[in-house]
Amino acid sequence: MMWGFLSMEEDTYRAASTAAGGPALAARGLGVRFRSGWALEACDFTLPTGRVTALVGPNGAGKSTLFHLATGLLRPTAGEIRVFGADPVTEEARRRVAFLAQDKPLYPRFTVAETLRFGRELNRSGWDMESAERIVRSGNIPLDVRVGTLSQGQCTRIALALAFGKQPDLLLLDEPLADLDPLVRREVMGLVMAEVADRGITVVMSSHIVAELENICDHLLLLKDGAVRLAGDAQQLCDEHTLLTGHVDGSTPHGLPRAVPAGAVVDSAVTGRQITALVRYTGPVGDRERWVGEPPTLEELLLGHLRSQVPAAGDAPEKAGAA
Amino acid sequence: MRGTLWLAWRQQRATVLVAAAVLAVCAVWVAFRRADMMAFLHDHSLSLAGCKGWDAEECTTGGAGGPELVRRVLADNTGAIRALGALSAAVPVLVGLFWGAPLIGRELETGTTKLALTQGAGLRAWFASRFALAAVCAVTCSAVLAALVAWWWGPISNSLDGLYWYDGFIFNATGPAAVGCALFGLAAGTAAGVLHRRTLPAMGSALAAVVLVRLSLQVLRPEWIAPERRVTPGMTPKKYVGSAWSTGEFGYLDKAGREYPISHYCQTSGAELRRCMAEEGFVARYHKVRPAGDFWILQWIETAVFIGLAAALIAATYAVLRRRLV
Repeated sequence: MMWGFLSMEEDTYRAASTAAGGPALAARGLGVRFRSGWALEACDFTLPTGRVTALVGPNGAGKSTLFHLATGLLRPTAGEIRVFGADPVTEEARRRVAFLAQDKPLYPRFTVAETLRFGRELNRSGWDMESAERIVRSGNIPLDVRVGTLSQGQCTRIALALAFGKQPDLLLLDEPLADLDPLVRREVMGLVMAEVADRGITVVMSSHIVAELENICDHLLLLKDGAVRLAGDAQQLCDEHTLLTGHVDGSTPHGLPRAVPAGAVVDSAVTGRQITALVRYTGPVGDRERWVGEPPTLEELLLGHLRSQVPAAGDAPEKAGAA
Repeated sequence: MRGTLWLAWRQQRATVLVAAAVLAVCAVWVAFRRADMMAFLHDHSLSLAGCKGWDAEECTTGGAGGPELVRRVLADNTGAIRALGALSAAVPVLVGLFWGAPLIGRELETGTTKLALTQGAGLRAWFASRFALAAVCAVTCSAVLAALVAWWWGPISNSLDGLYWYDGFIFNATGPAAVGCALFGLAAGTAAGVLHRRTLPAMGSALAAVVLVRLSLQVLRPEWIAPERRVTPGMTPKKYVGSAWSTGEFGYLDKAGREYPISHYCQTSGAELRRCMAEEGFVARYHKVRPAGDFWILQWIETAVFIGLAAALIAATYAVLRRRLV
């Protein structure tokens, strides 16, 4: 009712998010203020269902805060966030979402069997004990040992077993691979991807290690300084950008071909007389002899935006890219 | 047990079992000690009915050696009852520190709220189960100890140089106020845990809160209700104080009924007192006391204070948790 003057827009928004094809996660004007200031401010985004979204950003960008908002662990100071159209604190939303927190909290004094029973007891409306036990067994973890005695990798496996036992439609993974050795990383990612392939669930995974997302994610949400910097389909975003390499052009202020608009430059680095720049521009650059332009890899795209000193331009570059 | 209650029980069962064991030991000990005491009273046909009050002159029970035997019973039991009373009075502090502070504080500290509160069961069920289990246990513990103190102390209560109802070891250790205080201790510990988001500092705050409220109520206790003024006409010796709680206010009344405290008038006795009273125009003497019946009024007042504070703390704690669980 507060949004009375926006009611039509509101209805459209709700209809879109509750329909089968609606977004798994949607935020409007989302903001959180802590005593130290705004951790997230004026965030707008929608994440489609059935995709694996990479939530990227430097430390302190607000990635964990966003997860806490999406799970109802934290209430927003401004705006709203919806999970399949529902408020995260509603039972419906809680039932459909599983969350693996960064520190993978478990009860150290519970045995593995008791930890799985915890999952069953707290998810009485739906719990798949078979899947949970299968995930635990495939890691050769005995059911009668205390969780406190397990290794980090084994704990991650237990935490994932809890998450998958819940049969979620949306799986939120906050830095799932941090603190794991490369072998276990591969194993854990294999586990996640197998479940994703089996059930077609939506996954949002945060990481600050960009390389490990390359082959997994097909959608991007890049946070920087508490704001959304980049959001969209990974391939499409790569296609909208160009990585330009060539000799510095002294006649333009940005050192790039005149055809490149100044606002499209995301990041540029000069070494000697050579310049490498990530631009949100796919048009002609003129002199083909002097300039090499190619679509960036996902890693190059992310690093460029993470390094960028230019403030996020909101929707403008998207339109420029489409033009 | 199912759902969030199963989780609450699984996490608190160690504390519950330790508390139950301590209670059982206390109960057995009290049963033996009290049986000894009752057997002694019975064997010597001692009745303490006339021995109420430190100045009880009617304490002539059991023949010539009666009062001596009564004093022996009191000497044998008073120390132990006082120790039990100390334990009972300490229950709110123990509950606050070891039950309330970690109840949610430890969950926030270790991050397991992020696990428990992202499952199907929500905050309300999780909070209600774990607080209710702790509250039931805290109330049971304090009620059992309060009952044990009352049961043991009852037959020899308010007698000669024994323990009186207004003694801190009795008043704070028995009655509904002791149970209310345990509930307050639990609520204070829980609230401190949510406030600090860590167990150890929460324990410190819980200790400070319970001690502060207890001391404040101890200081306020004489202020809740006006004492009874016992008046004896003329030179008649004043009435024995008996099991009442003396306020220490003595004095004289003139014809108009005005009070003249003894600290300023006629601090003397015998013939000189008669002369002094006549000179000043005093016609009666007064002594202000709180009769033993005030025990229940004061107990219910303090119970209401404790329960009110506990309810306010729990409501505030829940409101904070609803906004932020990480």
